Amino acid sequence: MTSKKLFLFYVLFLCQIICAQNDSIMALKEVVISDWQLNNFSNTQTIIVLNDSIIKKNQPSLTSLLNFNSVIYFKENGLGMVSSPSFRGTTAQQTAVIWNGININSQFLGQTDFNTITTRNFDVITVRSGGGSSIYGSSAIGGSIHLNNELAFKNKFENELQFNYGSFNTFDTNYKVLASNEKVSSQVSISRNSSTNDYDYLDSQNSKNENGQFYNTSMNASFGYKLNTFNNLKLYSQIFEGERHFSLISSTDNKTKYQDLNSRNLLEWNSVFNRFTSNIKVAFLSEEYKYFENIKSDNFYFGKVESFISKYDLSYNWKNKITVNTILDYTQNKGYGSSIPFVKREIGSATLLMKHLVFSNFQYEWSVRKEITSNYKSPILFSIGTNYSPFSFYRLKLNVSQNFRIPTYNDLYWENLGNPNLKPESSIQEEICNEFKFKNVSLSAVFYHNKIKDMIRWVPKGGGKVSPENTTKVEIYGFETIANWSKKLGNHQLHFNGTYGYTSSQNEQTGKQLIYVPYHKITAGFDYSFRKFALNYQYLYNGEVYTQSDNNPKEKVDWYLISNLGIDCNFGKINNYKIGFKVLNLFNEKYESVESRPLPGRNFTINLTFKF
Amino acid sequence: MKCSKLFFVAILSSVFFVSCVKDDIPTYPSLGNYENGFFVLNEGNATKGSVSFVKNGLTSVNNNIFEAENAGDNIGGYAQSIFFDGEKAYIISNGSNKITVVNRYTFKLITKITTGFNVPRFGTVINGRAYVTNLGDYADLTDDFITVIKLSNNTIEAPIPLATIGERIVAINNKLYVSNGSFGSGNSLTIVNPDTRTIIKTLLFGNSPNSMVENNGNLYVLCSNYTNNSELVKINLTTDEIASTTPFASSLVNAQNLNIENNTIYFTQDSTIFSDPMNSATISETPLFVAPQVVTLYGFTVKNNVVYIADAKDYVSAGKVYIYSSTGTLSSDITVGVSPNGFYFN
Repeated sequence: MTSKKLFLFYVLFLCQIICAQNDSIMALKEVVISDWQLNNFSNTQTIIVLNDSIIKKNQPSLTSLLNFNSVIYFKENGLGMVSSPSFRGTTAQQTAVIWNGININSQFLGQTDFNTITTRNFDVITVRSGGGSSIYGSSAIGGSIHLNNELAFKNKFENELQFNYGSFNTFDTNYKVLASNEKVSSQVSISRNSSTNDYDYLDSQNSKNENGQFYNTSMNASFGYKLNTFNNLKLYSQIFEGERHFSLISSTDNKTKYQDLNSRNLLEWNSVFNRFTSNIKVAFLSEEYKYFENIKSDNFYFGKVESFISKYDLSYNWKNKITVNTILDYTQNKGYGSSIPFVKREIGSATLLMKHLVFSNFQYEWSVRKEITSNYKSPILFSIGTNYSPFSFYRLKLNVSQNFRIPTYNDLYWENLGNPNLKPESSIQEEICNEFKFKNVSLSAVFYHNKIKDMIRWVPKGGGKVSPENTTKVEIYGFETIANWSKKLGNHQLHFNGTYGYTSSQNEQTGKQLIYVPYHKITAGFDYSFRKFALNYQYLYNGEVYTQSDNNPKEKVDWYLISNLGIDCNFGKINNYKIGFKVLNLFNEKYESVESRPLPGRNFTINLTFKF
Repeated sequence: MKCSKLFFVAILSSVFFVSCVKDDIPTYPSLGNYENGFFVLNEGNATKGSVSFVKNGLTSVNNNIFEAENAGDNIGGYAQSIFFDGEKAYIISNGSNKITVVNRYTFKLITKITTGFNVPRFGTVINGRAYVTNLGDYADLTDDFITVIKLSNNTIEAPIPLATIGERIVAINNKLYVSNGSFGSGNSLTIVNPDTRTIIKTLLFGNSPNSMVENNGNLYVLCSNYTNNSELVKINLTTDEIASTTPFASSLVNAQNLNIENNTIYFTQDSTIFSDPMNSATISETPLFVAPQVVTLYGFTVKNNVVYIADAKDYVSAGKVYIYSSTGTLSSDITVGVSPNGFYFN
């Protein structure tokens, strides 16, 4: 008992020392990310951090990374094709993707296609579960995915070149260079992924994935410049260009293809003066697509939105006990497309956040945001939560939030069909998170409940016409658990991580589970390394999903269980060469995540990494 | 003895049908499981549509009859329509660009026609050749064409370009009447000579044709879009000229699904059914009846004073067929496949 008390005291005391030290410095940190709130205002919710080494171990698509490392369910129309998430039982538009602090969900669709994000361009990808609209705006209902580039101000010059070659003529290349000193920091990453993607279907008919070829090229560049101890400038740029042919269901289908061109630029000025930190952001985003309904003809549909975002973010920190943060945001979107007239939309918002460390083991935080726009009526968004650690090994987090998803360009402005009177979808979510941390083990268990109303659905209007309306109400409750275990025995290192999610997501009017939301999902990863040798095993179980809204038990996508096995070997004095081999879908499971969209059987990847 | 045989047949039939047969057993040799009833075509999704069969007297309902008769196969995605030639039924899948040919009584697969299409819509037959309209690219309203199929060996012959929208097609007096309207676009009708494969003439309307019915030497075309007044155009089939145009009240915008029976016209607006005596100078705004159960009216037919409505609901769950008397009394509802869009009587 006394030893435990002593331990507790030690932890608390140590923590205070660290805090006190931090307070006295109050200068810019050595490693910075742009998404300041992610680290500072996510204390009462669950966070999974996927760092560089995890990113490298996985296939380069964001779908694959999150599918094997989080509770998020993915619906993928064949390998590399359109991929959309369901996070905590919500729809694809209810997960926000945040690039260096900026929401990048498509203005047309309200969602991000997770196969248009190359993970290797980022240093750290964070999964933030639960509501986050009061900080990140639209779509952060199920949760948000944060893609971040870190800028470090220390002497460094590193180059890394990675080649992957795999089955179906899949070729992924990534080159990354880091060059920095105390004053300047820069990072450039270039990726190219391509695949013929003509895998055989594991059924008796000897059929193949036809017209599934794709390529994409992306570049991410980040620069930081320290003007002095208290001021720095940062610039982030990204460009993604890709073309995907959409694979066929039946070989007589018309062949289609889709092109994406997205660019994102963000300029930021940070300054610290006394207890204030000020941050000015200016961002310019552009998204553009072209859809060819028949590759034999030149006809295509297109859409383009350019967004300008400016943000002023000011925070005040008192002895690391109280942090108050205000954000003023002005966003302007200008978009048009094949069926969308030119529309300019302006949204202004003000956010107030506060965090208070009441005792060393108890803190609360809250945030409130209000948007002003002429386009739709916007609710007050808030989040309030507490974080209490009565024992060193146990932490209890409670959070309640109101979140929303704004109507998209398509919903509002589609010629003749769009509904200008739509309201945003809104949700009230409550969650309880229990975290346990022991020497080698950490475990979290979350219970959540989420009520979503005014869900926008395109409903039939007679004569084959459909138009969006705020109709559906959904009630979701679920349970998530995340476990980690690590052990080091001499040169042997062992690591295990696992997640399990139970999700009940029901249409309140019909009492039926939403289509393409599984009740169960399990992921697990096991890593073993010994000196220069490493082995990893990944496991994914996806429960069955209904494909019809009446939950007809005959119309389901079956559950599946897939495993990957990878072996890496490092060479060179400082491990500057690496060769890896990976077997994906080790047991050759016949599976699909969307009806009639089979995913590949056992396939192989070899990769080479050079550091210089 | 006869009685027990009857009993045996009834039991046997119940194996094939969901519910027991209570009607009298036909005395002539049966052509197959699917005579004396009607088919409901279910559009389905991009993967597959399906066909349901409802026996006369509604004594039994069978869903997925094609799969039941042809295990492991399907009719393709987005089943659009069916046309018939003798004992054969031709099921058009616009998503999979194919026609599945089956025996209309047994529903056993005869063959599949998989070339010559680009989003096929509707078909008809004249003198051993099938003529099938194709939408082509949605973005292009001038690339539509007619696929010509020689039915004796199912070979594809040179297509007939339309240079406009090609949607509904009917064969009358050895000529093809092709409506040039789709979802409110296109305001004309093309008359095609199938022998020379040339366009004889094009008739222009004030609105977009969506359905047409031949009656007593005239072709009646219902034209509408989402904004303008609907109109009923009467075409004299002897002269191929417009004989009259009857405008609808402005409240009847987007009228659809023209049917004619016993000198009465029927049409729909959303889930409301209208009827008027033929040749009346004005079209009444007073509905025949409202079908409150119907969420998405997706198919509509009047036959022998009975009104058949197909309800596609949310397009991602089993649809329903509602059967009403001509005065609007609901007599039954039947659960069918996803997105039912049409009725075909056998």
